[in-house]
Amino acid sequence: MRTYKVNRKDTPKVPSKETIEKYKDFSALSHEYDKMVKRPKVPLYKDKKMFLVLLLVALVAILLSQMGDRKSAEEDSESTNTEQVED
Amino acid sequence: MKVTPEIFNDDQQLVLLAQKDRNAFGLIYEKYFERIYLFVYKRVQDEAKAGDICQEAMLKAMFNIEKYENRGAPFTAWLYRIASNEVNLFFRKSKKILSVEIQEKDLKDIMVEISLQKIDDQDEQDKLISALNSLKPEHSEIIDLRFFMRYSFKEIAEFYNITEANAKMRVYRILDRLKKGWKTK
Repeated sequence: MRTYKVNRKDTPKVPSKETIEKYKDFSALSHEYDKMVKRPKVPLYKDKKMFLVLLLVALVAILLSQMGDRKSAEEDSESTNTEQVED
Repeated sequence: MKVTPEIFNDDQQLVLLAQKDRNAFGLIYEKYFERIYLFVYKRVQDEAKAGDICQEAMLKAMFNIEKYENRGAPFTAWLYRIASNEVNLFFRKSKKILSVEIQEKDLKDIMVEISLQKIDDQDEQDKLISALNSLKPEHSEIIDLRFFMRYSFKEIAEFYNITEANAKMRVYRILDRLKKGWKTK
């Protein structure tokens, strides 16, 4: 949304070359870019919080895989039992 | 690499360089910072804020330079669109209303374009201001570019990545709408 108003008196102010130069800083821009793009210097596992998160993820993965194994083992034993009963 | 004036003047070569090496984006920055700054300043009317928005726009351009494809429109159109989006984002975030200060002379130019007679009459001018205020944002943007930022039709076409004829048509359609609205008042 924009609103218009008339300026009947002053001539429009335009920033001078010096003012523009003041805001021109490629090294700051480059630094900002690097900060956002480059990988962190400390590896993830050396960060305490990240280490705990990774540990938690690993534990959940192990737990899930064990649950899966147990379930398939139960299914196997059930199927052998029903085969024996049928015989 | 040595940058000759030929390379510096050729935007597509500068883009290719920047796509290969991000530090070469500095050449694009050097070439266009002032223009983008003035473009942003005209909208925000604040030197420091214009500086911040301009840096943000340049950072986004640096991030996305890889995705830039030359589809015939000049490279500047791409830069201006990024800057324009940043300005809109600034006004949305700060919940401020973009206030555009128009010179009386520019207002009179619109009045002449829509064939109004009493261009010196302040009441008529105020009426036009209220008509402009009721335009849709996309329409007021194109009016801004044409009458208040003094863009040629060619530059408007580049800004929107459309043909010059299409840019002309858009401007005159909006002026026509303003004119019709005037007659019904």
